[in-house]
Amino acid sequence: MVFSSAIFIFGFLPLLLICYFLTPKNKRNYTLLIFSLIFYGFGEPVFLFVMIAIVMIDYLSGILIDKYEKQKKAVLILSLILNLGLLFYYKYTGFFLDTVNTLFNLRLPVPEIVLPIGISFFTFQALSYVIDVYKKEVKVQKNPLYILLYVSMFPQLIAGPIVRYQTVEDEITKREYSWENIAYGIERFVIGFAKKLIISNHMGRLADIIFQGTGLTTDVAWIGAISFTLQIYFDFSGYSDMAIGLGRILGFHFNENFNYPYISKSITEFWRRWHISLSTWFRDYVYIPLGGNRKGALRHIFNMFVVWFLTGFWHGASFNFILWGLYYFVFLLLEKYVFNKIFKNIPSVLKHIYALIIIIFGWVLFNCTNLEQCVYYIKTMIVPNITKQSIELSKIYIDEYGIYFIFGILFSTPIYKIVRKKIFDIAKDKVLVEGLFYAGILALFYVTIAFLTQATYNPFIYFRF
Amino acid sequence: MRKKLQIIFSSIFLLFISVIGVLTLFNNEYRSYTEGRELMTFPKFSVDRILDKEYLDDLTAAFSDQLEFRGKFIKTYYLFNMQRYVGNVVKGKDNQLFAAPFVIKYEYRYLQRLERSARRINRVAARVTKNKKRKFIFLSIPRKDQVMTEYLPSTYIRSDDKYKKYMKFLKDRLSDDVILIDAMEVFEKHKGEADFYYKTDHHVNMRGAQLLYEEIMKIVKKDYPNVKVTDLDKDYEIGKVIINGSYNRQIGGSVNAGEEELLLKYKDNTLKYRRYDEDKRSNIPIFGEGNMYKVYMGGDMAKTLVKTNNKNAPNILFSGSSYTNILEAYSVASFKNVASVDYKENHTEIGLRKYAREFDADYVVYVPGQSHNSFSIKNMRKHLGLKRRKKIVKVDAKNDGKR
Repeated sequence: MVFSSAIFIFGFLPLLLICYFLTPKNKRNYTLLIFSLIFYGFGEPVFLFVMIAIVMIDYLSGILIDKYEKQKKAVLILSLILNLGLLFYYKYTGFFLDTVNTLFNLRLPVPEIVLPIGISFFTFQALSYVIDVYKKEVKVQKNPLYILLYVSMFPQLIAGPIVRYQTVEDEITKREYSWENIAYGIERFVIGFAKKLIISNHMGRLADIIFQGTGLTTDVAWIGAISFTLQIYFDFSGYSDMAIGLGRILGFHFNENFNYPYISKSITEFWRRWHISLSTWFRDYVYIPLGGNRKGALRHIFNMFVVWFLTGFWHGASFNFILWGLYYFVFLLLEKYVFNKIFKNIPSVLKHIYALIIIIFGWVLFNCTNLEQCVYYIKTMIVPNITKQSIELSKIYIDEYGIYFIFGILFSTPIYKIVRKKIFDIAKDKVLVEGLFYAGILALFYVTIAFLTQATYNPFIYFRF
Repeated sequence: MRKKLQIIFSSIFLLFISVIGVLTLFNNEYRSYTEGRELMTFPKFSVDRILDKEYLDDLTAAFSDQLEFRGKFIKTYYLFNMQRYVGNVVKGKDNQLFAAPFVIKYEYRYLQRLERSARRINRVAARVTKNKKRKFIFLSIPRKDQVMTEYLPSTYIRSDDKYKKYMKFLKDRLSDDVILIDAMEVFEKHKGEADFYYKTDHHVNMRGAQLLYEEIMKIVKKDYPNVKVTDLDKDYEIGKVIINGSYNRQIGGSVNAGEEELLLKYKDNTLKYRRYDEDKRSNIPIFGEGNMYKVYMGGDMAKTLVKTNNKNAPNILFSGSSYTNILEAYSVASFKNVASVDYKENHTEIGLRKYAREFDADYVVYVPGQSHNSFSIKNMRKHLGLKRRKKIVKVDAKNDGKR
């Protein structure tokens, strides 16, 4: 089930909220758990068992690590092998066998394995619990249903943010409910919903037309790359907004996953603002344990290489994702060791343009289905090739989607946040302003539902990871 | 006070989604008239299907299709959607609707295709006119936006010049067997007299079709000077009915163009006819009775023949899609037999020459469908009744054909 579907908005969500708030406070976890399992089972019921299996592995690992201090490293390693083994089996077997066949000219059969939706997200969540128990950063959870609830909690289950156990540890057993939280949650959910349906879907439609088309020209290629850049941000951050909003309605406080990444002035800054839950996961569970930057430059470079290779690989079993990860490794390295001094004397605007160009090219790598397409697309963007016909075509694309480009660019900046704050600061009658503001949110919700009824294009990009 | 506002806001939200959710469960519509499509109905519930992915997918689709107030939401969508070409349709001046502009990526490829098209038309015309005084008329109808340019939105990329350029290219390559009627020239000659296309549809309207019919009849009159040529205003009783064209249906009927279709009834009661659809006697009327555009000659039929009592008149065969419907209706008063073959519906491999012989046609009028690409080879192959080339598989004699 996806958030941006009628059955979720008008079926699942009201039923859940009614049942949830009618349940006594101390039993609400069970209501939430049941609904979360229904939510996950709706996509592919069989994979419920895969998720439950992963949760059981990690629950038992937590118990054993806590109980057997001396053997805890062995338990952790076993848990890592099992978790990552399952992830590897479902996500990377085909890719691995294909690569082996190509490299060694073999004909090993490649099984068609269906990927359980959201496996990359919930495996990482579950792993963070075991590792944190091992590091004694969280207390072991004795109730297996709570661990199951933590992993399967539907708002963040399928496409993140990757919520760490320590973030919700206290709230699983004791959380506070308030109308303020509920109202904030609804507002956040509606904004995410609108980001997805109004901006991302339109940009996605255009990006698909251009990326799947033949006979690319430079101008059209740039339009396609920019539309995908906007699509992926509004798609993923929209989903995160909805997840954070739903969490807040239910009494949970999830960490932010995005912080206006496209206003960054460097790639380093971009990765502090983009998919924060994933980059902090890799930082805390891979980069720092490998030694971070504390063991000399060479080791630091190696550590960065590992992290960015894994970041790319986490996104998908394909060479273009690995290339995409390593592409960022190169630029992060350059920023750390080469650009560092040069950047000090460069005006902010230029730094911003530099970052955006690198990001846009990065998304081209990300969105291309194979290496050949990547090379062709990037070459078309770089080597000027504009014809009279392509100018006509570009004009049509801009004419047709222009307003969504404007929205996309505008709302990639904190303009909404700033204007909202400004209005509240200067308003004499704050209650009136808040009332008008809520009316606006409800109107936006109505309009977005209207877009939903016509949305034939509605995929969440990050669902495939 | 702030808390009260938060309670009101949250309650409205919850009430809104709950009420619509509950009402949706009671819906069971089969068809959406706003969208012009079949709707998914709720699948029957059974306990053993609860873990069946197909059942859950059907349920999800049905919930979306049966959503309460769906029609209202769709109207809101078209009100708020700022996309210029909604569903490939763009609104021009005076509520005129147009398709997205005609853009060619590679002109040389297009010209190559036109060259091939010309060869195909020549080939079929040669076949059709061989050994008989039969005439082959090629009627080319431009896109609405190429004719009604005065109604186009300001940013629209016009292609009327392109049409003329490509028509000239095609014309230069047509053989003497082909008599060309270029509707663009006809409409330009009569510019300002009336609109020749529907406001909300891509077809030519009754007025436009009357002019094209007259052009055909000019050719016929040279051979049959006494042939009757009807006039829309004099020879027909005209009623009116509101129509909702294909462009408007694509955008959920959001343009209230108030467009009226002329409802024709032939005044001359001495005209008698018998109609055959796919070789079977048919009672579908040709005139009157809510005969909106598509209903003329029964809409898009694979093969239709109308035998009239116009004894000394010639026979005519139309090959095309919906564009020929109204021309066929007009022709009934002028010809002895009026036949039509629509290769969009007709999946036989019988070529136009055979049909021309079967109907003993004196005139064969070929009208390619007006699509995004008016001269697409796929269209031509269909409408000209050309067989698809089969792949020749070379058989290895030694291996007895086994690979």
